Amino acid sequence: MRRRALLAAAATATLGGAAGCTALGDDCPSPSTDPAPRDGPWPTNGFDRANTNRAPAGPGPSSERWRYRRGTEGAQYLVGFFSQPLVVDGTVYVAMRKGEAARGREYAGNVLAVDADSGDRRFRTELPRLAAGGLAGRDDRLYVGDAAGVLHALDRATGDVVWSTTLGDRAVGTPTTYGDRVYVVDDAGTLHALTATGDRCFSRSASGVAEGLLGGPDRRAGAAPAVDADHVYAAHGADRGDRRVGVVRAVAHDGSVAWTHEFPTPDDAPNAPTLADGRVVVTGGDRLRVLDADSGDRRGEFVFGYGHAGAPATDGSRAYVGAKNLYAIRLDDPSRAWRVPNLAVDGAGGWADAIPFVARPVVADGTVYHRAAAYDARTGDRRWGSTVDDEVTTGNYATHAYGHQPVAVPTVTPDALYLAHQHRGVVKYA
Amino acid sequence: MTRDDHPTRPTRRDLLRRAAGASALAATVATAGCAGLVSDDGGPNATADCSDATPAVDPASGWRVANADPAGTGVAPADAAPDAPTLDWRFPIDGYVGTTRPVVDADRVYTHDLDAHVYAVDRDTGDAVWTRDDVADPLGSPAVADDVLVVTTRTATLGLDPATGDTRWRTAHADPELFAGRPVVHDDVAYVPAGLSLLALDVDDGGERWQHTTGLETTTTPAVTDDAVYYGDADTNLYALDPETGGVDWRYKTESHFAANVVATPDRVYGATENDRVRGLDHRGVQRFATQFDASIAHLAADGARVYVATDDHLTALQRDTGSACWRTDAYAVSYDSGLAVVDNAVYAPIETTAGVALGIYDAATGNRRRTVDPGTDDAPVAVEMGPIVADGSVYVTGNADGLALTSLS
Repeated sequence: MRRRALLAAAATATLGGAAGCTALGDDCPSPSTDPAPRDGPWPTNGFDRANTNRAPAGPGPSSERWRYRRGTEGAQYLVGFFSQPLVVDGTVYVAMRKGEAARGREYAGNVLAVDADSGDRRFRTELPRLAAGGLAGRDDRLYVGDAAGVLHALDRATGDVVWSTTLGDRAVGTPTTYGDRVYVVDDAGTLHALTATGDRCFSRSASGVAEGLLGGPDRRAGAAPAVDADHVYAAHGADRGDRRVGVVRAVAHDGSVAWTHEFPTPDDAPNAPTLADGRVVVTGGDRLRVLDADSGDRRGEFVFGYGHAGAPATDGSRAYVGAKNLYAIRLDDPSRAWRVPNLAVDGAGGWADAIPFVARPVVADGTVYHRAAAYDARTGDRRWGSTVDDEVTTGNYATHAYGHQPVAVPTVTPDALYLAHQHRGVVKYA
Repeated sequence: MTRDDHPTRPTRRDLLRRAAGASALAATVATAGCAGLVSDDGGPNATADCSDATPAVDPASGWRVANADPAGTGVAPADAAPDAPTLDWRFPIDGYVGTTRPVVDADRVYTHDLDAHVYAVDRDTGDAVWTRDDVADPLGSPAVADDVLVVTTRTATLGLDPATGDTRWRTAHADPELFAGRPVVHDDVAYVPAGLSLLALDVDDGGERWQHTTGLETTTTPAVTDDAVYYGDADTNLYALDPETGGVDWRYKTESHFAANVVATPDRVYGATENDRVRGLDHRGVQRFATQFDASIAHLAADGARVYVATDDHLTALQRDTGSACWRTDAYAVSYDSGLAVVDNAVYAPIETTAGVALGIYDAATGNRRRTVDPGTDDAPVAVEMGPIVADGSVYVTGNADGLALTSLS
């Protein structure tokens, strides 16, 4: 019933085909410049609109409390990747998103709400297709884009779909909210701006009207934009002849493009950019780039020596990045402050031995959390936990099934660590 | 000291000049054969005159490790050079998988077949002293100390008795890459590139003294001196480690994986990165030059006067301090384990000829070819793809010419 209503809503709310850029409409006034205080303790993907993945506090030594498995729904086996959990008012929210293995498959998606104390389900909302990114939370809403090009708004308390808007035929990535705006990038690299009620303000294509009209190539996009009072910083991948690049654009809230920066990303699309003290920090392929947020000028670069770096977290002065190893990178003159080596080798069985540290870490009050472990943010010394997962080390899990997507994505609250673990499900450590 | 960036970061103008230089060099080589001259920072027509430079490396006798000596110079003593190398003997290598550059001690030559066989061959007669057929997946050149032959495999490092081939010790480790660095022995310690780590093993019992782990592949053969162990890694750093503790004295950060081998001369360290640059550093980790090439760098050697760089089709000599090109040939024959030897002011290199891969001997100061040792006859082919190494009046090479073989020329 819910799915039928959802499809009907999607059909009636469908907007026209992708355009180069639509103008800011009268019903899209400039967004409030001072977003309302967030709910918490982990209100949205990436923690905040700057994608810092930085929380005020995190837990001390912890052990597993509960897990919500793929099969917990009985006959409803949960297909897809678990997105980064949100934790708001005692509830954990997660979306099932498409991964490399699910690409091109038309699986249904799900948004789940689980009681943070007990691990019991509160609701499950089925979507027509897998999500294409994580959840954005704001006030009483959850926003999620799906692999069919539809952006959905859900009631956070009930899971009911409040509205759905088709933005095109490209997968819609992780939204970011700012005031009463919702910003999202689709797989064509188009940045869409909507109001909190689902009205479209503008759509800014990757490189112009013609391409927008024709659909354009797969831009390998979907990362959550970062937003501040001046700009929306959106990233996508692009082909430039025989080379691939990551493209970062700063788009003003009226849809005008302030600057564009390109950098080489031989294999991957760029990850979600983050904002750090007047800088845009973005990773893609084997490197991290630091850009001036006002001008887009390059301030520095760090090359990891591994071709698939994950998204950065930041405390303002450093970026914390999972690549093959886990790194702390000084941002003033990009250089390595510390590194936690990952002993994975090609061809090894078991995810702990074979899978790199590509998940975005969490930084919270001087501690960096990654997998089920905590490290001193200043020194990289391990405070508690382990990178090794005995349960699955002995299993024959194939690395290629995950592409270069993270297998265990952390979220941190003052008293708990939640992992979106692709083998175990959503796991709470406290 | 730790360096995370380039002390001499090239400017855009530098890069343009280098690109122009590379283009001009290619044109020069095409028209003038082996006498092309260019400088990475001197513009299209610049010439670095290195002919008066004096070698500063004090070569060790023998060729006990992959690159002649622990410092990886590729330099052999002047009296090691044969007058006019001709075929001495040919030793067949089993199978068809491949082989590697050999090493020698006073009595024997050692190599393997990249599959299961390890060989010790009498230097005088070319007869097998012993053969092991049970060493699974040996990798790269071995290294030989007085009482131990160190052989790296996919799963372990073995210490064999050089006289008998018996296993003295075995140390398990992670899976190295097939063409990653080779072990180096210095002062009773074997420095072994092993997967994600560089290991320091006691040659007497294989016990681990220390390991340096980066989480990424140890990609180069290390260069070892009394003061430091230098090696390059896939994590884009060149490391200088304390030989006693494995602690990092300094590291030099680049933007690309390190590849090939590292060479230490009395006052310089040279390495190569996968973005086709040769780097010259001083012993404090300060970069003195970065010279851009237009092809993958396969091998480095250095005698203290010049740095010799083998790439896909060329052999180039660089000025030791500036990295400017002194001379360049257009005849290097790269293979999966080709090398260089520097002996008595001459550079020995495998070169492509119309008859096949031959041994070219070049004047180290000018790049003029002194001699070409042809690849033999149909009845007596000489495969010189892997090597050469030069020791005590003989040249040893391996390769495939009508079957895999180890060949002695003297």
